[in-house]
Order: sequence, then C-alpha cells, then structure tokens
Amino acid sequence: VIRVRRSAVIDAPIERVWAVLRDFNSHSAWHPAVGPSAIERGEAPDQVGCVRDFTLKDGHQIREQLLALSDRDHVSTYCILDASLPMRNYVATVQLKRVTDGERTFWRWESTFDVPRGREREFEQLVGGQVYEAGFTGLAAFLRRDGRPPPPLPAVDSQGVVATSFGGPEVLRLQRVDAPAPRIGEVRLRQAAIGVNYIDVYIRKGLYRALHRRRLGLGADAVAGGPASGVDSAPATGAGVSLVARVVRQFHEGAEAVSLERVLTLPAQPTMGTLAWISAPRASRRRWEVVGLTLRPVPSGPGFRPPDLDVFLAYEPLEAATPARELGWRHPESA
Amino acid sequence: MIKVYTSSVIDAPADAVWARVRDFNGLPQWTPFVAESRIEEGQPPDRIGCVRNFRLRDGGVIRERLLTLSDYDYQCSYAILESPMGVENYVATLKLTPVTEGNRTFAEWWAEFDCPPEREQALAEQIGHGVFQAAFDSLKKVVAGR
Repeated sequence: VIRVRRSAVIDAPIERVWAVLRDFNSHSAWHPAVGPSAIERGEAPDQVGCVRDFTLKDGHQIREQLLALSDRDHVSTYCILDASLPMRNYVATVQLKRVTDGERTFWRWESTFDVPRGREREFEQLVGGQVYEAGFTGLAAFLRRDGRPPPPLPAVDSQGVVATSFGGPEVLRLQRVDAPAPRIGEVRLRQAAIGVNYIDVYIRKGLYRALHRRRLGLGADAVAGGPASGVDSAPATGAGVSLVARVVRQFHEGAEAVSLERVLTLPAQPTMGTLAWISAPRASRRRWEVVGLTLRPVPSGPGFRPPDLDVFLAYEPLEAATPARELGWRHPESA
Repeated sequence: MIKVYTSSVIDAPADAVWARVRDFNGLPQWTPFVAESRIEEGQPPDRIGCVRNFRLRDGGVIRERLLTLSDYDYQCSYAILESPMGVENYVATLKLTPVTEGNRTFAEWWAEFDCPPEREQALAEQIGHGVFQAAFDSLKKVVAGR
C-alpha cells in the first residue's frame, strides 16, 4: 500500500476554498491536469455517492465516486472506480482547516492505494506532485483570478505558404499567418518542416474539387485554419515525418470510446518555423478532443534526419506543457 | 461549554517546532507570559499525569495536568487544575501538522471550558488571542532564531 500525503497553506479564507472543493465536479475549472469532467446521471456534485467521469490532459480516463462530504469538518473523501492508470484501492481525503492567524486555509490531501510492484515511487511522485501539489497551485491561482478561466495563450506569429487561387507554383505566397492560442482539447505545433504531397499539387492546380477549400493539403478536417503545404515538388528522397493525431473519445455521450486517426506527412525539407493546427473537426469540436500526438520518422533516403518537432498539449502555457512524446503516444504501425 | 480555536503557520519544520513544544515544562522558553515553571513531585515532563506548576509574569499561578502526549501525531492535551482565570472543566489541545509545501508547520491550539455566560466573550478573547496567538507569535520568533 502506498500512502501519499501533501499539504499546503492557501492564502484565502476557508469558506472560499471549501466552496470550490466541496463541488465534486469543480476540478476541471482549477486543476491544471484535469480535462473535461462530468457527473454521471445528472446528479448534484455534492451528492454523496455521485460519480465524476473525467479525462486527464495526458489522456488518462478516470471515474471517481464521492464517499463522504462534511461541511462541518471541511472533509471530502472519494475513491477511484475505474482508471486507465494501474491504480487499485485508491481512497483519497481532502481536508481543510482554518488558519485563524491571517485569513488563510490549511489544506491536506492524502490517499492510500496499490500499484504494480516496482512502480511505487513513480506513483508516489505522480500523485503527490502532479495531482496534489499541482492542485494546490492551480486552486490558489484559480482563487486569485476570482474563478475566471485562465487567460488564453497569445497568438504566435508564424509564416505560411498560402494560395488564394488555383494555378501553378506562382500562386503560392509566403506570408505571415497567425497561429491562434489553442483551446481546450487543441494543440499547437511548432513545425520545422511542412509537407508536400501529390494531392497538394492537385489541389493547387484546382483538380481536386472535393477539397476545394483553403485548408490545403493535410487531410481537410484534421487541420483547421493552419498554414498548409505548398512547394511544387516533393523531395526526391521521399523522406518525411508522419504526424499522427489520435482524436479519441466522445465525451458527452456515454462511456464508449471512439478513435479516429489522421496521418499527416511532412517532408524533411526544412522550411520556415511554421505553426500548424491539429484540431477536431470544427463542427464537432465540443465532442472530440485531441489527447496526444506522435511523431515518427518514415523510412527515408540517405542522410535523412527527422526534423525536431515539438508537440504541446493544449491549454497550458508552453513552458509548462508536456511534450506528447513523453506521454508515450506511439504510431500504431510502430507497435 | 465553549470552545476557543486558534491556528497559525510556523515557518519551520514540524519536528523542530515539536521539539520545542513537547516539553511540558518548557513554557518559559517559548512563551512571553510564563516566568518560571516546574513539574510537581519531580516527575519527568513527558510522563502522562504529571502536573506543571508555573507562574505568570503578572504573578498568577497555574497548575495543569498532562492528559495526552503523542510524538506520533505531534499533539498534547492538558487540563487546568488551578488558575486565576475562573474557568471550569478546562481542557486544551496543542497540535502540529507538517505542511509539505515549504516544509512549514500548521499549528492548532484549542480549548473547551465552562464559565459564567457573561464572561464567555472576554475569556475567549483572552485565551484565544492573549494566550494562544501570543504564544504562537513568540514561537515563530524562537524557531526562526534557532
């Protein structure tokens, strides 16, 4: 059995801290690691026995049940019912106490659980650091913002090759393109190279009426609003990098997970530090979330080095975001 | 029965703070209002049931019996046997809890007692601020200067 215990002092009165923490579904608003969350069966978030079903920003899915709630003692106890993490018998308690010396609040968060042998230390650090300590910081920031959502990341200047009419290579223009801040469930990529496919050329020439939009190239509904490819010929080696966006899970309609993958091929020809978007299909953005991206070199010609691409999860300052490759997402063909 | 509760954050690790406050005979070393203290009948100060007999700087004498002492929970409780405060059934508990963020200490001190209703407010103020908070403020300085 692992026991994890962390505590902090929050610079706010206990009434304010407790008003947030007693709501079993509030964590997606203040915890930096928590993505979308919903209470099952439409129950109230202070109903003992209610179940919250949520996704962590690293893609893990967890269902937790509220076991005890005390407004008198400022205590909330809950357990994990199912998780895609290998944690068993997880029971956690959040307890607040008033600091009468200054309007502050002592917050203790602790749990016991089991994990596979040999992974105890890893999970002690994960739960204590990335869940509890990150939660202390996140809630303190949330209270300082007065409950408002965090400010969005700034748009980033980037360059793209854009065609506004059909034609030969002369219709392509290198110009500034805004890469807006990602919203929840979206990512922003820093791209060291951009792609060319025969299909891009066909589109540029106006031969491909079905993709007759400004989203050139890269699989029309997987990329929205981003710059696209636009050089006339693919590199002779055919070298490239596959970019796989695993768009998984339909969140609001039951537990059934749905996955959809799109593969984008980018050439090894280094070009302008361009930013591209990978996002869910626009029409269903509320129903899908991007949870991970994988980069994989494609077998290539002599001397090929895959460009150094960084992939960030959305809704986090870039400095704090987690590169997707650290999250273990892999191309399905490499499994 | 009324209850007085005071809590604070001491900027030192809990084991260091506990080393100070667990000494039932140590009030003169960390509170501003106790002039001298002794344990009656030569008992060790961590023996449950021992009685500390101390004199306040204003001259009052208080006798208190140690009821519980936990080096595991960093907690002790005691009852007043005799005091000039005019309280009955007075039992107080002092408890320390580590704050992992910043390696500090959350300190709580509370008391329950009976007294005439018209004195409740004044006594709560005197004990909560004049005793517990004043002792915490003094303790902060003592451990900061260690």
